[in-house]
Amino acid sequence: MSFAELVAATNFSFLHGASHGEDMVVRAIELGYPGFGIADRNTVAGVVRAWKALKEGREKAKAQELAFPDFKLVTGARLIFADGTPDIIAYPEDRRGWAQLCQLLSRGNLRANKGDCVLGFDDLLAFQHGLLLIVLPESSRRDGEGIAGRTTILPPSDEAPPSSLLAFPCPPKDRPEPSATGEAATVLALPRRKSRGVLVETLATLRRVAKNRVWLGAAPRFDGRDRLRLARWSKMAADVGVPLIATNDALFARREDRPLQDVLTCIRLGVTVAAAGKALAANGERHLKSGEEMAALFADHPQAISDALAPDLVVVAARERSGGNLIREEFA
Amino acid sequence: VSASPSTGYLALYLPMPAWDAWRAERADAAEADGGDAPIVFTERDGNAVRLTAASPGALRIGLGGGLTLADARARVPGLVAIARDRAAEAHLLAQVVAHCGRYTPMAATDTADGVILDIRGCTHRFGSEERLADDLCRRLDHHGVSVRIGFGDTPEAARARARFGEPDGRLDELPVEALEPAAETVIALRRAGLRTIGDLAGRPRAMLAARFGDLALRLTRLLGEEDRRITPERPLPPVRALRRFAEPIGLIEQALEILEDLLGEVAATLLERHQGGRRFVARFLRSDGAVPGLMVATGRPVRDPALVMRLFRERLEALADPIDPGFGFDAVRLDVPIAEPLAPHQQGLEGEDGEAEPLAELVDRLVARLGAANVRRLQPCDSHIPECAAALVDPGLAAAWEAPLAGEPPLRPLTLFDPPLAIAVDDLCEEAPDCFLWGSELHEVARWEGPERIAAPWWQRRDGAGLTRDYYRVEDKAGRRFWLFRHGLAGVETARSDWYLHGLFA
Repeated sequence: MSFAELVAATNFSFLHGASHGEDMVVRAIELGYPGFGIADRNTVAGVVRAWKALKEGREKAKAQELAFPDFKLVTGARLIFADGTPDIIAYPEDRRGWAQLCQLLSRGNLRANKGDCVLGFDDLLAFQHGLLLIVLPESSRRDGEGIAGRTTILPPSDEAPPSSLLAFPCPPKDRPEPSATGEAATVLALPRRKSRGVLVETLATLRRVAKNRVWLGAAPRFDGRDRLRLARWSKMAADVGVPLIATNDALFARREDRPLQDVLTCIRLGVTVAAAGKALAANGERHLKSGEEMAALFADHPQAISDALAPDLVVVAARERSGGNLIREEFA
Repeated sequence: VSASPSTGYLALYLPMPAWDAWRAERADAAEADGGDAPIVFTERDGNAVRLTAASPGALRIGLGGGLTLADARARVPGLVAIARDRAAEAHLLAQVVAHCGRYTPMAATDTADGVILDIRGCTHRFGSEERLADDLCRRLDHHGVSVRIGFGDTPEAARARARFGEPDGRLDELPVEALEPAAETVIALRRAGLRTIGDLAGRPRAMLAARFGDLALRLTRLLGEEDRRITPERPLPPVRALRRFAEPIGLIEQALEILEDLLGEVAATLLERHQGGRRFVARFLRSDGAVPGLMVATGRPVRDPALVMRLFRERLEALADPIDPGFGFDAVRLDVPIAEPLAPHQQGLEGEDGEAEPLAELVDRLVARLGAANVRRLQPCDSHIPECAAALVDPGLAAAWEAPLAGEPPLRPLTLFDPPLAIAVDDLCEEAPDCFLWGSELHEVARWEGPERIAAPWWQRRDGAGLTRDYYRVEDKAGRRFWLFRHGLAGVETARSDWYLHGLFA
């Protein structure tokens, strides 16, 4: 059964993902995925290690004259929003898409303290060109994330350049004064979207502005209500008119990595494993699963499995259009 | 020792309250090692665990306050470290204050490790202040409380002598630390060459006040130039009420009516004190000397006579042999041994009684009828494992449960089997079974929902593994709902997984 996991985090999602990008790629090839997507929380930093592992694997296979499977690595970022918008995975479709994604992330990073990122849904709408968007049903933002830095200076509107880009010998009176009550506060008060119906609203909006580039990513949670939930999401996707794709929202490569994942969660929360209780995941299912397992989980929605190949194929097609591997062209 | 001419105050200083309080709780353990083993008392300070008190044995080998526990362990590997119990120390100090009531009615705690006694006019039983202090020290020593004393004309002078000098020493020879100023003030004073109280006493006060703030005021008080009184701590008398009868009464019903009157009296006293009773004890004094009693306890402080009376009646009905009036009761007595703060209740405009607490009342009535040990409440625990997700606790202490999901049947049943019951199912089922055999009865599954996958807590097991459970909510054709689970993921953890019935949905 052909399946491609398109929502996977590496350890560049700090203290959220447990596996190295290399391990993820190796495991994805082992499982026979035709394609694989890596998206870390508000960063594209994890893609380098994954891409390098893939390149080395190809070279090794070539040296030993073994056939290397046809495998496409898709890279992007998982956007975590501060305004209650559900998580959205963004995969650039072409070079313009990369530019948009990096600008979007830079805008979020400039607003926040180091290591954090403050994004709103409007920011994505401003930078959505050339991005393939997989909307996940819920926000994985934790308390304390996405908080604007106190001394951050923000441009008052989209047109004005960020203060860091002002011409160097700028007269002091033109420089915006950093104030806790000024710009930073306006970001702190980033309007929270209503939690009810936010998913439908997000999907509908994105479908309008980014037609044919939006999917709804459904992941099983193994909490006893998956069938009901999948049925709801499937109906919602059909109503809005976006395809539903299957994913496992993977955080680690193998089933055996669950203890590592739990320990990382405990480090993040500052508790011991024994005292963490329900803060830990109830099970260790967020690993990369084989196509057969995913097909069994999405037995009621087989289309979601085959659609999971679609964004991957779009990216590949775009690359073929532009004549070669973009990453290699730009960074190798 | 010559008596100072006008001693008015006696200060007690407990140099080792942590050690004394700990020893008081474990009398035999302390006897066994003779107090020589190094024992330290630790408190958490941010991320560091520091010693804040130590036993005499530990002080002798130089383990003092401020050291981190890790450093102390490096020096003395076999060190016994105990978490410091401030509540026990406060209790010990309260006991010492209560004990001082035998010498003077004016006794008060003085910070967390001292007591001040106003002993003016209280020495005639002993002859002199010294003999009084000797008697006090002897008694405290007998109870294992080490203490240092100081006399003084003012509470501050007595305190300074107890902590920084001799009981009768000269005030002007005390070091400036006796004023207990901030550490930097001490350094500043020493740099200025002012080492003793005597050095300071000769200086103009206005200058000291300008440079060191309240130091001048402390000095004035220490030297007795300003008289400050202490506020004695006198325990409130216990809450009780008694009614004697001219003639013995022979009917228990009448005695209960009297009891209700007494509850009204007690309620008035409790209201004055802003308290409510947690325990009420009624005693019926029979003319032949027998004193049958009734006791009721409540989960929260109450003072409503009608409510307590109902509990008394419940208790009376639950008695195996009812109270026998015999030749009649001479008197009825009511005590409230445990009372807790309860603010006066604001009545509504139309005299309505405010919010009732039906659950707490039910618990109290059940406790009155069945006994406190027989009433328990389930409280949620922080665990994914179903059998660990609830614990039986005292009903007064139980935490609240989350509200169930709206529009969803419950995820977990009320009835759990312990241990889960093995059931037989069709071997080859991938998901929930089509039918299962519980005992000898075959249940055909009409509907199911799941799985809820709960993995074993790997950190509790030596091999770090354990079998995962897949829980299914199933409904059979007769409409009965069961909670089944498959133990072990087939093909991954076990070759063949077993099925169990873990609970029944109501």
